[in-house]
Amino acid sequence: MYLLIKRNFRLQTALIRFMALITVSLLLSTGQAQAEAGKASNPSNLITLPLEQLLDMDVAPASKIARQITDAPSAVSIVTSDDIRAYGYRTLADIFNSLPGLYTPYDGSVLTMGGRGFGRPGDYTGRVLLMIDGYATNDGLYDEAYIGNDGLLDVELIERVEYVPGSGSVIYGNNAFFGIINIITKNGSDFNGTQVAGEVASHGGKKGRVTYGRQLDNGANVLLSLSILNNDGRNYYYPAFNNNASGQNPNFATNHGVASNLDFDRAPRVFGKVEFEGWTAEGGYVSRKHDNPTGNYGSLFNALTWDWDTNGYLSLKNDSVLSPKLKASSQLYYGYYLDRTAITYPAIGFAHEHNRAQWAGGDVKFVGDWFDHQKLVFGAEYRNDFEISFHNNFGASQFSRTVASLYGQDEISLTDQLKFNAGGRYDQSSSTGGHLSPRVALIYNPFLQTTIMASYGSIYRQPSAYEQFYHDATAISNPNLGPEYVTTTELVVQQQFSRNMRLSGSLYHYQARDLITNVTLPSGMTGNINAGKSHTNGLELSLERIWDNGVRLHASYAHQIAISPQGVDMVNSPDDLGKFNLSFPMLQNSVRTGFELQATSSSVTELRNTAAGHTIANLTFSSDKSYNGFRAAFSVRNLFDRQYVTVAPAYMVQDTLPMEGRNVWLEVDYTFK
Amino acid sequence: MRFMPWLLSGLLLAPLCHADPVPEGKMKVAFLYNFGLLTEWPASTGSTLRLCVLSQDPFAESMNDIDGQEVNGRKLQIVRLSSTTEVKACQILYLGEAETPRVKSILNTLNDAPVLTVSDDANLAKSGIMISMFMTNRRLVFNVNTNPVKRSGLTLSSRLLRLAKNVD
Repeated sequence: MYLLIKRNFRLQTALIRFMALITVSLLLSTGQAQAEAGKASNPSNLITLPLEQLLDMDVAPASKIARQITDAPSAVSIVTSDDIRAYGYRTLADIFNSLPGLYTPYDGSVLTMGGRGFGRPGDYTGRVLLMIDGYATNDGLYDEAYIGNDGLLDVELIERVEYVPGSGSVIYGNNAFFGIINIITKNGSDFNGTQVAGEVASHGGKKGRVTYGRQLDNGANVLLSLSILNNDGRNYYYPAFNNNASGQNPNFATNHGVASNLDFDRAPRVFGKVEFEGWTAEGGYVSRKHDNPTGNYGSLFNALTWDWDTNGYLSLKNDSVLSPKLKASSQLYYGYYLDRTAITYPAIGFAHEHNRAQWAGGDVKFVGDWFDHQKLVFGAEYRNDFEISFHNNFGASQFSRTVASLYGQDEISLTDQLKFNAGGRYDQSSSTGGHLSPRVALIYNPFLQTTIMASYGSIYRQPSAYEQFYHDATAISNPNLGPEYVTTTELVVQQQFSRNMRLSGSLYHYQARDLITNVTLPSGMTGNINAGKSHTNGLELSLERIWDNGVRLHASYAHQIAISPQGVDMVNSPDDLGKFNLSFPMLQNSVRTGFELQATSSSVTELRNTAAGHTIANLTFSSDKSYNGFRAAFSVRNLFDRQYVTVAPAYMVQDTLPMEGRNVWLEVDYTFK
Repeated sequence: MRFMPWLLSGLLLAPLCHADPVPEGKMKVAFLYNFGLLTEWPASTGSTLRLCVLSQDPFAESMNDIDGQEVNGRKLQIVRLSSTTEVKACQILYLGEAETPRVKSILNTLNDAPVLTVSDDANLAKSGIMISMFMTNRRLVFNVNTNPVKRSGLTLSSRLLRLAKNVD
């Protein structure tokens, strides 16, 4: 015990020293930048050059804080491709983990996401809408957004990520409970050649990627990328299985609580995109197979088991200007999801599941500028989940459902300083009927650089096909299961101090009702019903600062109090989350250092125990420019080797799961022009 | 913790900027100067070419460097506007990023006067801005929207149109 305290104390001292040094180096660097500004090269040399020559010269982009492109009155957080590289992000979860108030628990096989009071383990990522270039990626079975190695995109293909919390997401529809995440991918011309990349990581991690991107002479912008990831994984030790309670030979049945060779991971990915004269055709595919070491759902521990998720989509989009005052954007899409889970049960042995969903749909969105002081957005969507099928050893069943939606939003400038924004969406679902999601917001700009937004909205989430239709030997389906609702009240204040510094604060109150809850019925079977209310009050603060010499800082703090339907603290909802991201160039701009701290306070487990809080540091070095076509990045995750746990879902024996200690990752890429 | 000293010395080596590439602001100012060279104003225009900048001026220093330069026999004068009412008196109007929300009312005020409008935002080309500059692949490029140019009575040289990335 004494040793533990001492170790913690030393860690803290080290951290404090570290922070002090960062502050000092930050101050030094800004001072130097000011000194540098004085001896800038003479621009009169530039104006003697012909425009032809200027067009051919390398330009160092002025640093600026990215601006949002999503149509929503919310405090939008943005992560750019520069951040992804600087901080060594490898999955979507890594990116989301850096955003204010978000966290990404790992259940031993699948990464999920929590925020604003929602994040019970086992919920999967069903209460956030994840879009790639406007296509909603949540699958048709679980409504899950895949954010780990099962995610549809290699992060190297991402141009930017926008997180829109709260009801600002109302016009984007279902699943947007605590917000939407909009991913915008790069264009072929951003690569301008063929890039080959190789990665190695701890625990036998390897990944290879080939990306071709180019703007052709006819103007078509083409991108094609293939990658494959392989990971041997670890042997996890779970104390909860280190017993002999079952009366079996403990060495065989539970292997002393060690899951041997059950963390293997493999994921091939394909992504392609062609843009030509306002048309974009795009498709993505990922098939991720991962052993599951946790012995979940009453399965035999340390026995053969895997999760195998395959996701794919194709979309065709058109953006056109119908008249000077009317723009239209329309999309057709097809989505595919296959879940092949295998589990070894004590009674029936090795069993397969084969659950599949296919869906297709279209939407059209208009932006009208007919009136001087109004901006109208309106549109319609139709989605047909024409295959929802479950096949397991208990039987097979098939379902389908459709949703037709209309939405509109008008932003009216009442005065130069005051805007009123009202919007709503109506969904007609074949399985749950009609639902209206309204939202109103006031946007006040007392000064050019200050924005105050107050909003009130109501969002619903349709039950996933799994929640509504799934049944087996112990679970019955509930065709009358209705949606769950959340109303959100939010006040946002944003202050843009200069083009280089922005402060944003947000206060919110979420009230959820009819939450979909799994209960045990008198018959002994389990089923889902609409029951229970919960509420969350929260505060989020976020600061972004950029210096002209390339130093970038983003820090945020989130405080949330989430009360469960039982009137107690919500499971797996930490009260405090702090994020600190600092990156800066060094060695004459050749290498960028990215340092990241993520602090999470303690949270309550399913068994009402406490999972301790933790602070994780990540450190990344990446080359800013290429050297003869080569670039490299090296990352140490969990730099101080902090041992920490995350809350386990209810369907596991374990109450908490151990997370990864220090691990490293190295990537090298080469671009042929 | 063995690698802490090494890491800390790395941090202390921190950031110094010795970039070879031209800073974006200086390049934009050089572009503005060139746009002035490659545009023809109506004969009634006086001997001063007024380049107006609205409120927030991100490239103040570079702008000062071209103040007073000669452009096709006219003297270039940088004018910093405090309100949008005076925009008609300009020959070139540069709208920085901060002006995006006000673009429409500014264009209404201009009402097709012979003022070359230049913006920082590629998305504004369709709203009636004549030239928009933007970064792509570490180069500064520009798009031209010829409709408002024609309505205003300005003439852009064919060389300028040829060098534009896109002409609408």
